[in-house]
Amino acid sequence: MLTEEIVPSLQGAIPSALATVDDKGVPNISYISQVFYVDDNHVALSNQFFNKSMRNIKTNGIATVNIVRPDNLNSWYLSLQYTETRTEGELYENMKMQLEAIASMTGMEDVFRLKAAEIFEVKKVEEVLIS
Amino acid sequence: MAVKLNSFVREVLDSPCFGFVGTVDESSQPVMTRGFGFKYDEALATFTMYTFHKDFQRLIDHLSEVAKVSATITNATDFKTVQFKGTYRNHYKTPDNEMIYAEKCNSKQAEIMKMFGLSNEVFANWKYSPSVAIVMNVHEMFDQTPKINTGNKIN
Repeated sequence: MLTEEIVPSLQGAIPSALATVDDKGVPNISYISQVFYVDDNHVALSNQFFNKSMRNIKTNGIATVNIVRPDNLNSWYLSLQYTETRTEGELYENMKMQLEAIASMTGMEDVFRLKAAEIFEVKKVEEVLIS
Repeated sequence: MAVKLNSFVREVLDSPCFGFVGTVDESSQPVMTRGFGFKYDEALATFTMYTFHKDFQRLIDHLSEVAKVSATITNATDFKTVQFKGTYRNHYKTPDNEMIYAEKCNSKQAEIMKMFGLSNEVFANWKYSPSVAIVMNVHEMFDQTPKINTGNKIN
């Protein structure tokens, strides 16, 4: 599902728009620093401070994220289903290390502190149609 | 209307910014589309975002008088972000005389491109016209800037 063309957009280079929905059916659109490739059917989102988004996800497990290739700005929407939370392991450490690098460059150590890597199954991939 | 156009919101809306507008489909899956320009009235009763015609089609089946809509606008240089929440009002094919609002945003793209180390050539294939304007009634605004305790209501 996550093709070679899409994978470069899953390296956390450009922040991603994350859309969730609350229990009243109200959409919420925020930004996250990282969407990471896990395998061809799963991605990990960095859980830093998006409390409202995480509340929604933990309630219904549903999210949509927009990812962007940093080299040509091609982008896609991923329909996601939450599967698990990781707070240790190789994936978590890699995401944490990259966030710390971003933090040191921007002086935002408090903001870019990884609480958890949230793992999602990719249910659908749609290209952003801008041409 | 309870919302007010304060200095923070004005700063974001006047910045080199980009945005998304979204709603929810029948299976509760959020559906969003990219916006490339917008306009608003000073009272912020309504907010209009201009979208790419083809990309907008993913929203069209989910918009009705009761559709709940959110629009997020972000300053690309510092990621200060405002989220508008409200209800769908209407949409229409963007007339030529409103493309000025889109051009206002596009003229600031050089700043964004410089930030990402890209040239404006990556926009060569972006087709701004035809465009669809989506209008929402604004009920609430939130400071959605990435930071600890983000999501505070404005006003």
